[in-house]
Amino acid sequence: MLLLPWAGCQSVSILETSLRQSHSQLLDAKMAAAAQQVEQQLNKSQQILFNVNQGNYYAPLTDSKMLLDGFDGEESDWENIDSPWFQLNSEGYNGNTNNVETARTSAQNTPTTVQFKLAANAQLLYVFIQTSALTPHYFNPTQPQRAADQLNIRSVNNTGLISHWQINPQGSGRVEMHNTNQAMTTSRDAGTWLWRDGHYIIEIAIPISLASHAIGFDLILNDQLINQHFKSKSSSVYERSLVREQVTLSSQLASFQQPGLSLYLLNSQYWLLGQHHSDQIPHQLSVADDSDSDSDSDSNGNGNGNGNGNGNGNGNAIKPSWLSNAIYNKLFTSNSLPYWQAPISLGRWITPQQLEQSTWYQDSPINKQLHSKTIMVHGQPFHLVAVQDSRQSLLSASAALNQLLSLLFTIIAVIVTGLFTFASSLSWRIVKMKQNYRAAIDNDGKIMAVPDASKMPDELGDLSRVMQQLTANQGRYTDYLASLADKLSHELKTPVAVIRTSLENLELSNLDPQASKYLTRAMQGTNRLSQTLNALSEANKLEQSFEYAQWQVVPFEDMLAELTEAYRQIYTSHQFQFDLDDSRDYTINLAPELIVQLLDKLISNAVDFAPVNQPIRLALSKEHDRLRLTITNQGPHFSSDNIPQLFDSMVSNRQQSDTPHLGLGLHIAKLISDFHHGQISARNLPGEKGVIFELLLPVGL
Amino acid sequence: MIKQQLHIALVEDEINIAENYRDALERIGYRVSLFHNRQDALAAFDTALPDMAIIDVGLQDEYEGGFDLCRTLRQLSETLPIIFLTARNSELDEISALRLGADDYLTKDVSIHQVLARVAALFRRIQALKKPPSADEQILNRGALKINIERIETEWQAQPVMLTLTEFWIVHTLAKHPGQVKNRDQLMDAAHVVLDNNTITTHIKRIRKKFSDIDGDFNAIKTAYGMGYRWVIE
Repeated sequence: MLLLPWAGCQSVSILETSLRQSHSQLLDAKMAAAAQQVEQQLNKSQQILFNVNQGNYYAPLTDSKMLLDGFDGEESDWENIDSPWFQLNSEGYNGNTNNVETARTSAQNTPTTVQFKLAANAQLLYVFIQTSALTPHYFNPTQPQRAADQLNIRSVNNTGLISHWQINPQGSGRVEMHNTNQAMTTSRDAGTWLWRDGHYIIEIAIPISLASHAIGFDLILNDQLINQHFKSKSSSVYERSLVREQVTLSSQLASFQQPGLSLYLLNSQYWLLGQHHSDQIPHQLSVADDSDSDSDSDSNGNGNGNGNGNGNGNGNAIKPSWLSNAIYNKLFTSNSLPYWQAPISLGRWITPQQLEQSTWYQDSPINKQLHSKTIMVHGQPFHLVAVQDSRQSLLSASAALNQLLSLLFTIIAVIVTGLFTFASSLSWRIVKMKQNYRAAIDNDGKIMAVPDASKMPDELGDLSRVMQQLTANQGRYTDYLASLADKLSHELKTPVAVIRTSLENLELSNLDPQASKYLTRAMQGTNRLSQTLNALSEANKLEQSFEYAQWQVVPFEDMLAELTEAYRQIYTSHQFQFDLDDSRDYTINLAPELIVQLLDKLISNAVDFAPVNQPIRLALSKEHDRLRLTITNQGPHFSSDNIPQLFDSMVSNRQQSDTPHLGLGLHIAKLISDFHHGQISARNLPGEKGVIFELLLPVGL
Repeated sequence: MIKQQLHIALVEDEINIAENYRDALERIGYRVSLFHNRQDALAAFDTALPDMAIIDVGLQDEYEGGFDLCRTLRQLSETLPIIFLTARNSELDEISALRLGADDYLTKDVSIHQVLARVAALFRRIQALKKPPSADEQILNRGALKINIERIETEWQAQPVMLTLTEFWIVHTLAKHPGQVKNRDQLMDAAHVVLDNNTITTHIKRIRKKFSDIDGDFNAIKTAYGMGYRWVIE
């Protein structure tokens, strides 16, 4: 039964795998169509694309108009833009400009370093340039020949028009930019050129229409050398192609949206040209939020795509049970899948090799599938990458899982309830049976009444019937044993009587002295046998006499005092002592003849063992509602292991003696004590020797 | 010893015991007839009643044949002395026997000597009863109690108390020395029986009961616990 959930999960797992496969195929087909469409559209745009293989600059999309205030970092416009830093080199260009290692090498050669980053929206290209510490040399209009710091910019737009810009700062603050394209020089407000904390910070904006395809910088500083150039390229044509994220491309991608699908368009150098994140599936909202915040912290926010913000408006949607999600992930998230990481950092795809094949990635709480297609636009390869959350398959599988789980839980609940009820009823019956039998058998193991057997046809019923039969048999056997002594004694009496009467007749006839010696011995033996037989039936007779017992209210202390006196006379060799606790009322209702018989047995027992020089001590006291009588003698200890059996019939721990002893005395005492609802017990006194018998009699009878 | 050859019917199924008793009784001078079952005994009793019947309770297949026989005999004769001699020593049997009108109940534990003594005592009682009352009879007067030792009769407050022989001797022994405690052994000696303590207790109980039937306030027999009993005159 417990395999049911496992089997269910297996089937859901298989279902999930096939769903995943079909999902992959579906995505592949869609991607093929989308790739074709994007390829056509890009080719149609007739854009001249610079060869980006030599390295390029990248400007991520910014959706806001930025303040040219010379600040970046936290709480500035640049905070949410994931823009990479590029280096301007002071010497000959050696390799990729944005190669970090190269930048470091050049930084060692030249104390002064210059870096910049870019951002673009539909109108403007924003440039943020930062230098290392230096001493500013501002342009002094009165001394124009004197060496001053200067920034030159070359830009190319999509029609191939080259613009040339020059900024000559006259101090820390707002600067103007001169277009030095043609002979005619135009000026416009460029932005800010600040000298702060020993650094130049230049933040300027250029119309994107003039710099849409390529841009290059030539910063001339005079800190250590006269006219030291920091340039994008060492040649005079120093612009590099500009790759930027474009709203148009992103919106093109948006036409392929589907739930859980993120699309990225990358160029051959894996720069992000456009991206689109589809609306979140409404009821996955909380999950999606989690993953977004994760990726934010990882990659400093590449997720400011078009669609991202839109999905958050469905806060009222019903959330799926976290339980089913947790179970789903536990069951179906294979550990063999690689973990998903945010793919874009600083505008660039981090691990280009993952684009080569479709792969499933593990992510929390759902898995992702990555799929890419390469398209050719004007002879250059572009990558269209799709990242699909497995939300859809999750949905279906999760619905199936939910149904399966609820069905399973219902079945299990029903079965468990059934089993529990069944087990409870069994346990109840067993407990009931135990109680019945415990009630049926008293402390001495005597069967008072045989309980009714169960009528149920099952094993417990059988057990109950067998138990009943056993108990009944046991009862009969016990009765038989109890009556055995009596029967035996009765049966033996007749032959003993024959022997006795014969001997007595023999005695009456005249025998010679020799013969009469043997006759006497025979008579002694017969008498002893006769006594034994009487003792055997005594217990049985006693129980009969209970029916005729006479109850009497007597002052127990007087009765005991009288008895002690009697014992002194009977057992002259021993001393007796009777201690009375205090002068309280010891009146009690009892059958005096029986109690005397009981005490006779105890005293007789004590006399047999007690040394003659030490008194046998009787003590009476009262506790709550019962009287306590103790009889102490200094005889040898009981062997400790058979104390509880002392009061059983036919148990004697005496040595062989010349008088017949069947161990019935204490048994009779016990019978009488029980008849009075009293308790009788024996124990050894601490020390070398001495035993104490204790009789507790309830007063309230 | 006893000249007129008193006739005793001994109904006992155990032949050995029956013959032993017969021998003992005949040795003293009684005439003894043996019967081994109830039918034989009844057939004989139809023709002539014996002077005394000694009966066993269990007779061959009849578990309580002796009791039946006793009942029949009592119908035939009010006065015929009947002694039960049995192996059974249960109180219940003894009570049943005495209730049926038996004069005594002896168990087979008792020695033949005691049986003989009891038989003799019973005959003496019968003979005393047959004699007309005379002035020189031994009469013991103890307050409300009056005991005629010759006739083995007891009166309490001038009303006869029907005691068995054993009970009579117990009462006699106690009343002879009022206030003196008689222990069980002494009482047993007096009654010419060997009984266990419990049986003496039973007898005392029954004696009290018989006196109480006449006088609800009867309290003359006091128990001295562990020692015995004494007669108290109030």
